[in-house]
Amino acid sequence: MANLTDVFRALNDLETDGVIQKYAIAGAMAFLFYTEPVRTYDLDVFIFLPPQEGPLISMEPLYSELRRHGYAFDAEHVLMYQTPVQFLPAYNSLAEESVDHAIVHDYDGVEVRVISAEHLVALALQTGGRHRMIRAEALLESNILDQEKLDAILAAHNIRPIE
Amino acid sequence: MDEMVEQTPIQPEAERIFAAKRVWHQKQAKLPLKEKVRIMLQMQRDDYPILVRRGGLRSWEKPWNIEP
Repeated sequence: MANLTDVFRALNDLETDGVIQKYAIAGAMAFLFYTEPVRTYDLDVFIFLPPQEGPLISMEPLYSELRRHGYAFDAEHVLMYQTPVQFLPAYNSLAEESVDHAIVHDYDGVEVRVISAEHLVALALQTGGRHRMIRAEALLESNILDQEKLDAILAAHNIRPIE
Repeated sequence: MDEMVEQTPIQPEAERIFAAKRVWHQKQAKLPLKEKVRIMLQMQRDDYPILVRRGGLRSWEKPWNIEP
């Protein structure tokens, strides 16, 4: 049976092969690297795509490459080793910064890029949503955050901190 | 003028339970990554029948058939 390292290796390979420029694990799976486990049924991955011509970003080059690798699709998810992975092009300046400043973690001997705890809190505050806010609060209570770094991110992106 | 809301004091026993829960959550957060993934996969399996009964799951929302 496959394991999560296979998925992370596949993501690293996509980056090495230039199919994506850079990636970072986001969403609930990213929180898991810093807080207690929470249940999720998908793996969100923020990405930078290689430069494209035209004003619209197309996911098609990435999807064709994934099809070529034999991965199946289910709605907007790519099933990598039966794990539903959702690729999301970094959609604004905070998401771009989150990918750029992602932290390289070691997962069972495999390097994996994960959005930093401070950027996860900023993204949760910017995007909102009950689940995200609960996870952000868990991080805020965890004492692992660099408060100065978080304050700088929130100020740079005009995000109101939690009162 | 705002009305003063009288807060019910937390009983010492409840406070002790809350404190113990905080410690438990902190311990969970400090588990090795692979163990946290194992717990997450178990949560997927445990919650799935309940979520199916509630309905509204999307096609990809199911336990992952992988090892941690």
